[in-house]
Amino acid sequence: MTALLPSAGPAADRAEPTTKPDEAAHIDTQDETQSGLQRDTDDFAEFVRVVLPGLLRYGHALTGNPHDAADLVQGVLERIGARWQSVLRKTGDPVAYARRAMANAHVSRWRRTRRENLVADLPDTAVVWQPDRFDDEPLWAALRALPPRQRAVMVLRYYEDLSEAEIATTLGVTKGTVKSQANKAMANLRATLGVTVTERRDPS
Amino acid sequence: MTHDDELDDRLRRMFTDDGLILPVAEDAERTVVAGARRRRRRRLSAAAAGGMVAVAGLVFAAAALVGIGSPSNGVLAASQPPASAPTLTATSEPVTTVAPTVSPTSTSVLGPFGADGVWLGMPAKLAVRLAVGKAPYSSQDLDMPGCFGYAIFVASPASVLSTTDPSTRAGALPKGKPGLITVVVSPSEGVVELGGVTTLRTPEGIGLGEPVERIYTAYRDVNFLNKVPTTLLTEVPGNKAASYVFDVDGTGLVRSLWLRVQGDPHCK
Repeated sequence: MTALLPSAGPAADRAEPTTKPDEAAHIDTQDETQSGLQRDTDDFAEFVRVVLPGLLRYGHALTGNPHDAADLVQGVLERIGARWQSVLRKTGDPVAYARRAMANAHVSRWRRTRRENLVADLPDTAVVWQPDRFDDEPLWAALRALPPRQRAVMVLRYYEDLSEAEIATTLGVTKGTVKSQANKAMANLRATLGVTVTERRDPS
Repeated sequence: MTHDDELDDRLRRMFTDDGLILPVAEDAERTVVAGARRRRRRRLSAAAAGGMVAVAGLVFAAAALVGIGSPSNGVLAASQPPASAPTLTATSEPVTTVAPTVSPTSTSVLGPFGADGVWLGMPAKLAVRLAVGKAPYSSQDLDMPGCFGYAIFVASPASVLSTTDPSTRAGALPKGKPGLITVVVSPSEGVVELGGVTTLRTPEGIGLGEPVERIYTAYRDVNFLNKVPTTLLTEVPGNKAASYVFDVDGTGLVRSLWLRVQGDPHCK
C-alpha cells in the first residue's frame, strides 16, 4: 500500500500531473449527490494535499523506511477521512490528531504484523526493495532495530520535541513507562552503536 | 561533550535531516480520498447489515495489501532511491536550505488548513528548517509579538511570493520568487499564520487584486482585525479553528492574504 510514493523509473520524473487536482478530488463521486457529502470530500482532499508531505516525513521517522511510512500515513488518513466531520468536531486540530494516531498506529500495527507474519504465505511475486537513503547510517539502523514503542518514544522526543508528559498522553501510557522506554532505547542505541564502532575499527 | 550529549545531538540532527523528506506520488491525494470513501461506505454498510459487509470489506482490504512493492503493481511501486547517502556523522552540520518538496498535484490554493505542504500548527522547528530566510517584520507589523516571520519553501512552485506593494507586511521578502510562502511561527504552537503577497487564492476565489466587496460576498462572517478597517478577518469554511486575513489597500483591493489560527496565538 505504498501508493503515496511515486513509482520508480522514468514515470516518476514527470513534472506535469496526468490528473488535475480538482479532477482527482471528484473522481468516483458521481453517486454522491448530496452537496454536504461532496463538500466534506473536497475539504478532506484539501487537508490531505496540504498535510501529506509533512506526515510522510514524520512517518518515515516513525517507521524507519519509506514503504511503511506510506502505508502508515495512508491507513491513518483513510480512517480520518472516513470520519472527517467527527474528527473535525471532536479534535479541532486534525493535523495533531493525525500525528498522534500515527504514533499509536505504528506501535499497534507492528504487533499485528508480527502476528500475521506467523501464518502468512510467501508472496508469489518478487518484492522489489528500494534502499532507504539512511540505510548505511549506523544510527538509523540502530533506531530501526528498536522495538516500536521505544522508537516511537525517541521520535516523539527528538522529532516532535515533546515532554515526557506529552509523550505519555500521546501514547496513552504513564510517564513512568515513557521514562523507562526512553532509558531502554538510549541504552540499546548506545550498545548497538558501540558494537558498530568496534566492528568498524576491527573488522576481523 | 559526554556520550549522552553526543547521542542526543546525533538524534536531533538525524530527525531534522532532509533525507527524511519523501516525494509525494501524483495521485496520492486521490488514493487517500478514495480509500477513505471505501472505509466510510464499509462502515455504513456494516452498521446497516450487522457487520456482514464489514467482513467482505476487510477481505478486500487485505487483498489490496498483497504485492507491496511488486513491479506489476504500478501505483504501489516504491520511491526512487536517492542519488547519495546522507552524512550523519557526529561532525556533520545540518543543511541550512532545502529544495522544495515538489508535489505535482498541488494547486495555488490557500485552503482551510494551509497551502502546499505548509499547515497551521506545523511544528516550529520543521518550519524553521524549511526557511530560506527571515521575513523582516517589525513587531508592529506582525501584530503577534514574540512570533517570528519566515519565508519558506512550499510544495508547489505555483505559489509565487511577490513584493508588488512594499507597504504590505511581506514587503521586504524575495521578489517574485516561485515556490515560497510566508509563515509566522510561534515557538510553542508552530505555524500560526501563513500567506502573504502571493499568487495563492482561497477556495472561494479571493486573491490579490480582488475588490473588497468580493470578500463580503464570499464570506458570511467578516470583521476588522484589531479594528483596522483595511485588515479584514473572516471565517474559514471547513475549519472553525482558523481565520482568513485580507489586507486591503486604499483603493479597496486585496494586497495580501493570510490564513491564521483563531484567537491570539501564544508567541512565547
